[in-house]
Amino acid sequence: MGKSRATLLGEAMLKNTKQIIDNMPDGEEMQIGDEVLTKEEIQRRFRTDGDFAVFLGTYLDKYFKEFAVRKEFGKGRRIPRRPSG
Amino acid sequence: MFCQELIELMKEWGDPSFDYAGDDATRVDVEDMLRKRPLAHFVFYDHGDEKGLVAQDGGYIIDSDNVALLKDRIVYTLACLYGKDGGWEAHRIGARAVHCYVEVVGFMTGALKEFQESFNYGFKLLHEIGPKFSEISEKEKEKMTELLDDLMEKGDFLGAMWMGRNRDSVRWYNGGGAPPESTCFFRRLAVRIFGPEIGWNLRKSLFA
Repeated sequence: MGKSRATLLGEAMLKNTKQIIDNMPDGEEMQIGDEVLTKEEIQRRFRTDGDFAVFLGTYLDKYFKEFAVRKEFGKGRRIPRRPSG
Repeated sequence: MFCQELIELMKEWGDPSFDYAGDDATRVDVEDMLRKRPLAHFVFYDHGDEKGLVAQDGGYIIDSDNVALLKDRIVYTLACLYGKDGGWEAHRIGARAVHCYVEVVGFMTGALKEFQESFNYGFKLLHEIGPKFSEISEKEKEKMTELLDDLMEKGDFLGAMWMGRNRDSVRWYNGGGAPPESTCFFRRLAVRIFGPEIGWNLRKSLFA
């Protein structure tokens, strides 16, 4: 049985994320709160920690879209609307 | 690391500042300093969590037991998660305004200049335009969006991602920042029925 469209879309997103991590300059680090991750640690965690992979994929995707809407379509809001309440 | 720029700027502006770092940053010393200077701004750049601002020894510099020391002050923090509960509590007990983040703060070491600019921008605006917190909040988010776009254009996509996450997580309580969602069902219900002003000020014991 072939893969569902949802699976294919998800795989594409994760493939893009992996490529972005692989293209990180050597020696650069990601600091998340009090945790500091080297490129190798990010790559390893991406492979072994599903939540981390989804987190990076989700938020890269979100801000790529926001950037594209703002720049390419010229009609995005520069400032996100504040939640009400 | 990011705070050093603010310390230099305060010297340049002629503002008296008292720097507690490393082993000096104990709860006792900071409480003592806050008692002696009741109206001074309080700037904190270090680790935090939902409950408070974390000291070097792993305890808290500020938590719910001594949060009253922040009353009438402008509080400017770069600390993970403080906006989720502790920062809102500081605002509720009477801090003039609280700058804080509701999520974990992240950054890339390849874009330290851009992240320093984003983290310190709100405080610089406070000096430039005075305590107009809503305006500062909007300009700060606008600056972070500009920095996000710059990082995207440079190809630093992970840096851009963290800039966006930080922008969406930063709050100025008393500057239009929406209150955090309570973890207590009854508190959420009270906020929905009575609004945040009354709902958040009902005593905890009413829900027990």
